[in-house]
Amino acid sequence: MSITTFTELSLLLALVIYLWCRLLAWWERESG
Amino acid sequence: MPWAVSFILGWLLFFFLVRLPLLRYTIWGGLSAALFQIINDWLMIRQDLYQIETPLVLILHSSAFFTFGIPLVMGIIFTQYLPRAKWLQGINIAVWAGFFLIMETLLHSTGVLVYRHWNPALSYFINILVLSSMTWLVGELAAQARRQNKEFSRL
Repeated sequence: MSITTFTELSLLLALVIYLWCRLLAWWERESG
Repeated sequence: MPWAVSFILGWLLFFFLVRLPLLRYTIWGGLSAALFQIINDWLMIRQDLYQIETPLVLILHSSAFFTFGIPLVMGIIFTQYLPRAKWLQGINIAVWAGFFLIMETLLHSTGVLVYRHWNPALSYFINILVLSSMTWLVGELAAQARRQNKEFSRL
């Protein structure tokens, strides 16, 4: 795998992690 | 190069997600994750289960760019966003174990992580164990961070 592909896929993974954390934060707010 | 890239991206994600006032509670999650990683990899690499290539800077067989990158910052984020409900903690552990496994698979695909007598299933199992331990270890710190965050939210 090239470093460019690695970087792109890592960025995608970072986005998924970001969305998961935001989802958890939203759930905590909603559940009080 | 992949180690440096993972370090930069990890810290970038950290700055998007971190709440700095809570760092005094959540930093222990990062430090414990980094400690787990460095000890685990030191033992596994000594047993020739897998090897690290082009680490740039070595620290006990691991790349310092990895230890002070992904495990440290993601450990802090894991603690900060730790859910209260036990059932959700279980799902959270499985999801984060998957995140770490995907990161490992990407590193393996670049050739900087070489499997000798190892496979991804073992990694996922180890990740589950470590993240379960961390959930137990940092649970109280995460609760204090949540209480602090609620006070900040009222301001």
